[in-house]
Amino acid sequence: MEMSDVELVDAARQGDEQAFKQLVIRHESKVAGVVHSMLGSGAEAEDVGQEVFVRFYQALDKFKGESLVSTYLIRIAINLSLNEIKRRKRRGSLFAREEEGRYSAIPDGATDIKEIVHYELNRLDDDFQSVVTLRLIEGYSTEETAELLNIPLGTVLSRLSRAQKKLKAVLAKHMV
Amino acid sequence: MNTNELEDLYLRSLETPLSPAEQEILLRELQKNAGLAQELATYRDIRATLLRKRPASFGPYFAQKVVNRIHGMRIEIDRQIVFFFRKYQLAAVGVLIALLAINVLFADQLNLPSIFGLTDSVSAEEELAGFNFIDTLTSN
Repeated sequence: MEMSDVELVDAARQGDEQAFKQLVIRHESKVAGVVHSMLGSGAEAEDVGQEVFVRFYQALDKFKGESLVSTYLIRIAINLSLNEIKRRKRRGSLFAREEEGRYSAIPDGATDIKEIVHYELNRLDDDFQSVVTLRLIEGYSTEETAELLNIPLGTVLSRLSRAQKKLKAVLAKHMV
Repeated sequence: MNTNELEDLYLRSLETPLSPAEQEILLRELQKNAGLAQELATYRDIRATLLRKRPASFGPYFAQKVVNRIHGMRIEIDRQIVFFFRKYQLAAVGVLIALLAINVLFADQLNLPSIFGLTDSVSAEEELAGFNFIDTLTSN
């Protein structure tokens, strides 16, 4: 029978490495979704992904099970991704790919709408970006998004609305 | 209802169910204004573009990489502890030398027990006798 998250956390706390590995395998996809949505899919994203689980491992003793393991991990993933975005912005690069010289700004003739949407998403303020990531990219409900970000439902709805208006304003010319 | 209010209502309809009255207003206004209806449809395109279609992954052996990183960190922590105490090792040796120097200066005799404060001021019998608290209490 498959062990529950709580059982795996208990086992990991007692030093069961396989139990912790099982938790990583079980929740990798959700964490990867959030991190990739916010940072792209480069090496830095994987590094942040690893850090999410390392932080979780370090906090195993403090984890009381009041929230789900996935909720806990996604909160860490969002915070670490936002930190990474700030670090990139400080470095003067919005996208890791910019550093690789692929492009330095959104090209006028760009046709890959997915790329443009994600570029514009990265330009949104942190508060908007995390709401858009969870609700519109990862497909969490508005209630789940509110719980994950620990903000009221009304705030989620208003941020979503404003974020979508901002995205539409810049994307309208590319989407016709 | 102006365009901005209609836009807000439309966006809300994508998240939560509208009341029958609101639904009717939205439907009526969009039927009247095909241009606005087309413009608002952009939101659906954006949302469809953003929504993840395939499960995300960090690639092969990710779990093992995490475990390896934790192992590496343990070594790092051990190293940090050793490094942390190394600073105090030097200070501790300095204090020890200073105490020995004081003992040498104030020692009655220059021999090792005296320098290290090991001089025996209690006889073997006294040490074995222990403390007789009944005698002490009754003597007063």
